[in-house]
Amino acid sequence: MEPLLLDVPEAIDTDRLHMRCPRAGDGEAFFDSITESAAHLRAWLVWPDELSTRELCERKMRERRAEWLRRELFHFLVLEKSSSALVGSVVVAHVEWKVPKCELGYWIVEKYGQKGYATEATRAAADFAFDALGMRRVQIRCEPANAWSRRVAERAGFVCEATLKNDIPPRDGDVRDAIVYAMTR
Amino acid sequence: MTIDPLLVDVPERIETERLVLRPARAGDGPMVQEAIEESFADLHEWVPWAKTLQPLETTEMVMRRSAANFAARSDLLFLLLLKENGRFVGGSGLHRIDWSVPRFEIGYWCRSSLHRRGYLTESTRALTKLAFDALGAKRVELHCDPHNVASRRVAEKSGFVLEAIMKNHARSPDGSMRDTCMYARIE
Repeated sequence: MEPLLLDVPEAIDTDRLHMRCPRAGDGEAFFDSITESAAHLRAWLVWPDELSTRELCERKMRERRAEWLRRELFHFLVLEKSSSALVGSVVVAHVEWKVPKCELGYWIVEKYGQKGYATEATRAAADFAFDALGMRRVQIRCEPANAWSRRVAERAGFVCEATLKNDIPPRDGDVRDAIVYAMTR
Repeated sequence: MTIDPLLVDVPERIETERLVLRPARAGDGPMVQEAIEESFADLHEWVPWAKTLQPLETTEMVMRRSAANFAARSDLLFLLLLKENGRFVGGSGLHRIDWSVPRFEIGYWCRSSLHRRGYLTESTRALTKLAFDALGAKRVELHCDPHNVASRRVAEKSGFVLEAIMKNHARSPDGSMRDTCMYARIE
């Protein structure tokens, strides 16, 4: 199957969330939400530091849209239905069409934490990967010490497969281990 | 001054007197394929991409790739539709973009059953205006076969000036050598 010919929905609705492909103009809200959660995100992620201005965020959103249309990467902006607020993202990345398999990444704005939004969005993104993209394996990688991310993976139904030693590039210090969760169909 | 193409705002809908211009999207394949099939004899004579008639799937892929290129600002194809009834007229775009100048090459085609109505002159004027006013163009080029009288008329009616006829500059869809009329408008 030619990935370009796959009909991919550009939005998904769950009980409480609306998840959609980014578009021009989303940079502003994206910048505000990552800035608000900066300390919280920096504990585990490197990219928030790279998106340090509104312009860089706008650029990223437009790039993400083009990648989506090329069927290379599917970045969902996650919006709370009741308020339309941007509460985070779930990204279907490292798509390898030949297997086919992919990886999920997620983050939630600090003040919208503890509501189960990440789990809800991750489940929906996994279903999207299997049903809309035809993936056979969806994996989540995080650091063993990232208890929040591990809990999301487990609640979303992912199974812990392994801990990979020295797998993640160093952030202020030494290389890190990675814990791998997977779901297959 | 360097332009970051991704940050350039490009309108996703342009209206002229009789036409609506918009980027291609998933699902446009069948509409465009019908027009290509109707027009294949004309297209094959002049248009580089019309070497052979491609299947619907290929056309749909071209539309989807074009939507992605538009989002990435690497190539800006617009589909031309009649305002009146939405009928597909043809395609026209700003191609071979060099944002460092910025410079664009405009290309166009019109389905055979709607020739000789001035639609391409209308769309070419609109896209040239877009290039200069919204995209900061310093130069817009228009290449065509010297024997393609209809295309040259569109260029001239749209205010383009013939700068040169370049010898052995391209191949026709049938593989033979041909010269190219280099038309241009500058800011």
